[in-house]
Amino acid sequence: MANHTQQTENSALPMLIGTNSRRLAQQFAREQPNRQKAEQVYFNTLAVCVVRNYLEWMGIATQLNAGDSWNPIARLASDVADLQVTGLGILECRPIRENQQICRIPPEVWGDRIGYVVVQIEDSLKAANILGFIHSIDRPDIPLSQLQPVETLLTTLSGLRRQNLVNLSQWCQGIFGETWQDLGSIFSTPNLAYNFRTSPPDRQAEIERGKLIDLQMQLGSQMVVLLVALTPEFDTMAVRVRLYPPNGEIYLPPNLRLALLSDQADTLQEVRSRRHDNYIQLPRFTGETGERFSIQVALENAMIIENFAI
Amino acid sequence: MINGQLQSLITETCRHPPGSLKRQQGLTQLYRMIVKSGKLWRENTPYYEEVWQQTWLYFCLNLCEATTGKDKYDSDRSSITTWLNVYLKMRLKDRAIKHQNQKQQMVSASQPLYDDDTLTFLDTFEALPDIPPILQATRKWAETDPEGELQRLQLRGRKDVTCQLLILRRLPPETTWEDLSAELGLPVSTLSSFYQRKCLPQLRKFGESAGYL
Repeated sequence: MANHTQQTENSALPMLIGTNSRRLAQQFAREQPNRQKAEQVYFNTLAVCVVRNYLEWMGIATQLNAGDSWNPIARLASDVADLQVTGLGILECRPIRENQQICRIPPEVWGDRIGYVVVQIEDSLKAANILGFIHSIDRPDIPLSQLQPVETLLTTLSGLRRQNLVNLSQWCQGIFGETWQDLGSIFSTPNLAYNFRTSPPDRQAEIERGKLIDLQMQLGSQMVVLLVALTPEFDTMAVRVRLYPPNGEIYLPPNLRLALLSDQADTLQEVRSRRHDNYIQLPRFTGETGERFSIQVALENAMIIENFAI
Repeated sequence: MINGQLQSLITETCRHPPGSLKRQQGLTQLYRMIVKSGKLWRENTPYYEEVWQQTWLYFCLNLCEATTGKDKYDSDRSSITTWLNVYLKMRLKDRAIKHQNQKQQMVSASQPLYDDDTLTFLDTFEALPDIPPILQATRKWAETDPEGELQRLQLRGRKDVTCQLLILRRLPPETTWEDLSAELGLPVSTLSSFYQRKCLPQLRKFGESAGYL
């Protein structure tokens, strides 16, 4: 037992907690009806902030606002400390206090999680230790000795990124997967925008697929069609990306964002729809085999990221 | 901390592209080592922790490439802790000036300039008799169930177990999962899984539409 504790201590990641995080945690806590709930929300909020801070250093994009922990009603009605990792899933960031040896995971967060990060908040409230990570749980109480070092979280996220990758080289071999469809299937009624081609007719070597994307915003949802067209060249591939309104609609909603991201999530190109756009497109770009990029589609607070490898 | 060990870890970490797993793992290990060395400047100012975070972000972005800084880290010019301390102290100085200016602008002395880093604020909850408006509104929404959705969402095979029931029981002061399980004769995991998959999305939507975000 002593050995395990030492191991956890050695691999723990010391973090500091800033005033902005504490202020926010207090603000959320003050919404609660009783002391017990307020304390729960306070520490849950700090834990999420700490993990998010670390992921930011690692260059891993997260969306605080998308979490139930950031939704006043959801956190009122459940014990939740979730953090959305953009494009990959949800991480649960469970707080424990100093001298606690067991981390209890509430039932309402047993499902739908990449895994659980345990964050020990020090009594000073100015420091914390990311004690470790566990991918899945088979019981509600996790002894700290069962935690893997935080590097395992990195490995898990990296694995997920690879899994969700759309492999464009496979498209050249005719392997597309279920979600990427032939445009004839998506646009059953002739789509004016789609048929209107500004590009020269020598695009016969092009491989084109589309995916229906559902953007869930605050009020309502919006479907769009993401089109990716490839032109394989010698050891590179030219890629064309467009966004269309769904079958039957003529215009895209305004302020729809389409962006090309590097494999470090830097925005390389971005376009935005205006009032009556039939489609929007990114400037054609070329990549080498193996190169990775992401396409981001966003409208209001809804965002989808698709990861690709050439 | 042996400098040679640190240097070889830096070299190894920087061999891998930014955002790659090995780079991230290397940065994490370096962070641990450097922090444990205790050689980083510490001070007891309210903004220290935020500047610390900023400094380590700078470290991650500029150790191997000059992503945001003018130059990346150059081991010939300084040790890693010196490089970090220079940045840290510069940012602390910036904040000190800002802090000073803010202090001068504060009219009412009764409001603390910075936050409370204790849990004493929790004591105020003993005195609160009123139900917070958010809770009241959520309870009302769950009780009236204007779209009938909460009653429509039922656990398969148990018409009596609806989202309406569970939400009302899980709003504070909440019934524990164990008690609910005993009362309804269903395992905790069955109830909580149903709650998570079907009922939480309803709460989420209510939170979004009621303008609470």
